[in-house]
Order: sequence, then C-alpha cells, then structure tokens
Amino acid sequence: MQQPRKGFWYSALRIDRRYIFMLVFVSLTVPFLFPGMRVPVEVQNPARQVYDFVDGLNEGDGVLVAFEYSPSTAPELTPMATCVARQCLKKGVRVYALSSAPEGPPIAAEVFRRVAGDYGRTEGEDYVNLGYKPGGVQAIVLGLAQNVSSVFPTDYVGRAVADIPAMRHFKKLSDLKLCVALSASTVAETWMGLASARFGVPVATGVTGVMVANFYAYLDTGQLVGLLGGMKGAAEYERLIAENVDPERGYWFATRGMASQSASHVLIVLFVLFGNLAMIMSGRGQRRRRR
Amino acid sequence: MEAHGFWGVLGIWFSAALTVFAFSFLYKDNPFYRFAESLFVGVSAGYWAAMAVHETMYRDVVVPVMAGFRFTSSDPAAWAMILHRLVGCALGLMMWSRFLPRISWMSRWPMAFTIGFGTGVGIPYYIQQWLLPQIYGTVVPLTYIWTRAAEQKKQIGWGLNPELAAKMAEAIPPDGMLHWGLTISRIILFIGVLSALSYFFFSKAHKGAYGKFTRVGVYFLMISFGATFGNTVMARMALLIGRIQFLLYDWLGTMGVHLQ
Amino acid sequence: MRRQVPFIIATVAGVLMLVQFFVPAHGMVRMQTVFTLYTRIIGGFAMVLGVASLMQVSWVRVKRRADNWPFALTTILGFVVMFSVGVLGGFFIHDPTTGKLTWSAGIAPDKNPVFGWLFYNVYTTMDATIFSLLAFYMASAAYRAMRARDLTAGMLLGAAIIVMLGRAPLTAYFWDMWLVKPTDHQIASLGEITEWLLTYPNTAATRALMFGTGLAALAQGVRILVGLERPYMAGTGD
Repeated sequence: MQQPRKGFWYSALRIDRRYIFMLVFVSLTVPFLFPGMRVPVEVQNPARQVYDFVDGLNEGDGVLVAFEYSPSTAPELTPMATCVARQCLKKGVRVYALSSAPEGPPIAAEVFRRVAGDYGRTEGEDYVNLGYKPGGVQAIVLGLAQNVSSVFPTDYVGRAVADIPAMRHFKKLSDLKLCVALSASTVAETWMGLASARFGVPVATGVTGVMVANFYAYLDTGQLVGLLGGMKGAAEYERLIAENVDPERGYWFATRGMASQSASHVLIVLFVLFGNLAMIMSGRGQRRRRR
Repeated sequence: MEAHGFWGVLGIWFSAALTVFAFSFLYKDNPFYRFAESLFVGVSAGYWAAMAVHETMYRDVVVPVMAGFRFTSSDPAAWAMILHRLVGCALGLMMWSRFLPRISWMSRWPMAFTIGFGTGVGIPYYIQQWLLPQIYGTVVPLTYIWTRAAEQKKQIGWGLNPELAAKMAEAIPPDGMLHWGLTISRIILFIGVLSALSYFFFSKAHKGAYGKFTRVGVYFLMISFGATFGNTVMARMALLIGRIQFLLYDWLGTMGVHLQ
Repeated sequence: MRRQVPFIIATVAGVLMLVQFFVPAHGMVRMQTVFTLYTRIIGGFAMVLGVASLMQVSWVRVKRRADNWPFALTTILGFVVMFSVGVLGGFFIHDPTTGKLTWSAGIAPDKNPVFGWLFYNVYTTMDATIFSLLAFYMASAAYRAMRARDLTAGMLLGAAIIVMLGRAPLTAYFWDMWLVKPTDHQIASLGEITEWLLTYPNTAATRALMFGTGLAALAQGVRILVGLERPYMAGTGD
C-alpha cells in the first residue's frame, strides 16, 4: 500500500504536545507583563443577583460562608469569598465561616485577615471562624439546623462559642439571612438542598467553572438566590464591589487574571479550529493522492 | 501568604521550587516531580490525620466526655451525653477493624449506619432538590411578562443612569407586557427537557417522528456538553493562572521585582 | 448475624431519618441530633483509616525496597513530621486572645508556625500546582481530539467556542465595541448570548439528566433500605 506523503497538515496533526504546553504557558504569562491590559468585565445576572441580595441585608444580619474547597480551587473561589466578606463587613453584616473540608478554615482565616481590618471589624464581634467538622455536609447542616453549638462547641482556635459575642445571634440555621456555599464539588448542591429546601434559608453558591453549567437549572427555579461561576464570576463580583462598595480597595485578584484568561481562551479556540482545519486538509490531501 | 522575614522568604522559594518540580512533569517524568508528589502526599495525609484526630477524637469525644463526668452528679442528662459519645467512638473504632482480616466484618456496622443515614436523608432530598422544583420550573412560567422594573434594571445594566432608565421603562405598560423573546426561550426550554428525556427512554424504538424528536434532544445534550467543556476550560486555566500569579508576584517579589 | 445485623442497622437508620423528615417531633429531632453525632464521629475515624492505609502501603514498599522506595520513605517522613507538629503543637501554642494553652490553636496553620509553614508552602502549593497541570492537558486535548466529524460534534464544539469566547472579557469587549454599541444593542452582547445558552438549552439538557439521576438515586435509596443493595458489605471478606 502506498504510504501517505508527510505534508505540512500531516505534521501539524502530530506536533509534539510540549510545544502546545509552551504556547499555553506563554499565553497565560505575557498579559501579566503588561499591567495596563485590564479589560472591563461585563456583569451578568447570576453574579448581580448575589450582590443585590447581600446589598438588601441590614446591619446585624448574619451570613454563613461555607468554605467547602481546598487550595487547588482557591484561585476561583477565594476571590468570591473575599468579595462576600468585604460587602458584608462594610455593611456591618456578621459573617460566620465554617467548613466540611479540612483545608477550609485556614483559607477562611486568611480571607478575614485580609479584609476585616479595612473596615475596623473584630473577630468574635463581627465575624467568627467556626472551623472544620468531619462527617459530611449532611450531618453538619442537619446539626446546625437544631443547635450550632452541638456541631461546633468551639471556634477554629478553641474558644467556646458561648463566650463569643457574635454567636449570641447565631444559635441555629434559621437565624441566618443567607448561606453562601463555595465549593468545587456537589457539596454546594447539598447545602442548597438542605439549608434552602428543607430549612428555608436562602442559599447562594460560588462554584468552579467545571460545575457552573449544572447550577443554572437551580437559578431558574429560584432554589438559588444567585450564582458565582468560576474566575469570571468572581471578577464580575469584584467589579460590583469596586464600583459600589469599596472603590479604593477592590481586591483585584480575579480581575487581574482576566487578560490571561482571555488570551488562553482565544488560544484554545484557535487550537480547536486549527486542529479541525488540519484534519480536513490532511484528509483532502490523502483523497487526492489516492486518485 | 505574605513573606515574613527569613522563613517567609525561604517558604516562598521552597514553594516555587516545588511548583517548578511539578511543572517538570510536562516535559517528562523525573525524580524531582516524584519527590514533590510524594512529599505532598505525605504532608497532606499528616494534615488530614491531625485534623481528624483533633476534631473528632479530641473535640467530639474526649472533651465532651470529660466535661460530662464533671456534671453527672448534678445533671442526669450528662450520662446520656457520655453514652452517645462513647457509642459513636465505638462505632468509629469498629471502622478500624478493617486492618485485621479476622474481625474486619465489624466495620460493616458503622458503614451500614452511615449509608442508611445518608439514604434516609437523601430520599426526600432527591425529591425536593431534583424532581419537584425542576418539574415545576420547566412548565411554570411558559410565558414571560416583562415589567417596568425589569426594563429599568436592563437599561441600568447597559450603562444608563437610573433616572433615564426609569424614563425608558415607562414605555412598558404598568401591568407589564408579553416578552416574545423570553417566551420563545421558555418554550425552547420546555421542548428541550421533553426531547432530552425522551432520548433516554429506550423502551420505545427511536424511529419515525419519535426518532426525530429524540434527535432534537441529542442536540440539546450536545449544546450542554459543549457549554460544560467551555466552562471547564475556564476553570482549568484559572487554576494555572493562580500558580503563575504566585510565581510572578510572590516569588519574583522576593527578588525585588514588583509587577503591578 | 454478620450479614443480617448490618442490614438491620442500615434499614432502621434510614427509615428513622426518613420518618423524621415528615414527623419533626421533639423525640425525632433528638434522635436526628444523635445520629448526626454518630455520623460525624464515624467520618473522623474513617479519615484516619484512609491515611493509615496509605502509610501501610508506603511502609510495605520501603520494607521490601520496592521500585522507587525512597519516594515512599519521603511520603512517610512527610506524614510523620506534619502529624507530629500538628498534634504536639497543641502543647506549646497559646491562643493569643485568651493566653491559654490550647490544642485547637496548635492545629491551626496560621497559629502554629511550623505546621503553618508546611501547610502553606508544601500542601497548598502542591495541591494547586497538581491541579493546574490539567490546563496543559486540556489544551493538548482541544488540539488533538476535538473534531467536528458530524453535526452533533459540531454543535458541541460550537457551543464550547461560544461559551469560551463569551467568558473571555477581551473578546466580549471587542464584540461589544464592534457589533453591540454601534447597533444600539440590537445585537446581543457575547456575554448575553452565553448566558442565554446556559439558561435555556443547557438548562433543558441538565434538567433532563437531573430527572434521570434523581429517579435513579431514589430507586437506589429504596433498594438499600429494603436490602436489595448492600454496599456496606463490600471489601470485608464475604
């Protein structure tokens, strides 16, 4: 049988993947070298709904932020947590953090450390880091619905919750005005299904890009009050915070990455188009040679 | 985490080295990558074990039981609390019987309890979460009434100031009006759900008009998978952006190079 | 007895939790509180079980001097150091607010310097880096494997391209500048098109999958409660 002649398209289809890796790395790194390359982020409804709901809360209300993720997904989810904390603490809304993931509490502690001092908020009065509990989200939410101190008798660093002033306003789940579940897994669905559907506490979620498409169904039915999807969702929320809450201190972690995100998406689209073009052209070349 | 003195800077350099070791796998598998990977596995296992020992064995068993014994003379309910903690501890210890083949059957009891508990919580959860609201949301509403408030919000989103947006919204009747675009979208949603569900019903042959209908369902499924892929690309790139930000801002920062 | 008792435990626990949903009387709520306590405690012991299994596998590799045994030794040393520092830290770390010696402060990475150093510079770093490698493989897959061989594959790719470009602020910005603003919003922005795609066609398919998953999970739950499925019997020698 005659061997196909190795033309440009044939070689293009079989390029060493390490060149592809290098192009990806370059496309993500170069935009950071040009800090003026900041593109405005268009805010969509799902993120706006989260912002509007928190904006509608009053001073003294309680918001629970569940840090249900590990450092691997922190670039997408920590900016969301930071924005929620900023908006709440600026308004005087109390923030309670907890986690069913062991890595959650130090991430929460870092978020509070970064944000609380900007608004003169103190731990124990305006925010509490309850820490981590193993056993799964179901057990935690069901326990919180009855009595918070039965699940978290002490906070993250061992203080008894009875001695924490802010905990006087959070005895059980129904004392809260909002739960924000930040998760890279189906844990966010469990928070929504139990806290919202069963115990009537409004839930907003922040999820990674992998899962965001699944959550639009919940947004449509009103099971969620808002949805933050991936780094883009975090950037949208950062824009709302910077425009309306804290123009001087908008934390630009997610927004800073948007130029790189854009470059990488364009690169991937070009890869897909070029790969398909190479397939078509190399197929045509083979058919011509067979004739 | 910000650098604090010598140990902070050393930590950032060690992190950067581990990051580069891990990225070296992209070139090919090598001992540096394996070292970084095995160190990560060990450290993460140590962290998880320390947290589990503290949160469960210490905080959920030892502390409440010791506190309970102090109150048993004054409060009979303390005995019940102690008993529950000890039963939980016993169930937990039975999980560890998996290490000894002769008594590994004992681990079935706590497993059975956990699975039974999860099932009992899950059954109403599945109905409340995935079935009833989603069925309702598919058919209600099929028409979309556009109100003045929605028009005002849309105009503000497009950059108009609130007063001008309110003026533009006055073109909408006070009771609202049928929004054809969104109504058609909701009908598309309804047809999409029915056709995609029909595709998974294999008791009837996918032939003729029914076959064409299920084909429409396949197209909806493909759009959904494509949207998921697009969002997954965003997610994966975001993770890599996080690492690059660490290298460019934190690591280069220790060498006096400060990017904005 | 070894097969019947687990089935009875699973069924009783499941039925009681199911009944509690419909009968939230005080006694049932108390029962739920106790059951959630048991589940949390079992979960903690199960975590230690998982870690111990991993260490056992690594120890066997070191003992037998199997291939790459130095890396297994690195794993064990990493575990021993991290676990010791975390557990022992509690005997030396004071809670800064109360000044009391507290084990809880010792287990917190931001309060225990050595524990924190390892957590932030090894654990956090490697967790993030290992996952970030997926971005490269995704790009490679996009080039080599994503082929529009027929209409359905073409639709998948088309939707993916729209979402990718819609989620990228730069492309959305240029689309706005060249198409949306000049036509006074007669053409929808790329972000709005992406949102429409996710809100309607994507939701339709997701919902259909949700119905299927929900009914299957419901059926599986009922099968577990009546004993037709016994996943708790796996891996224990029977």
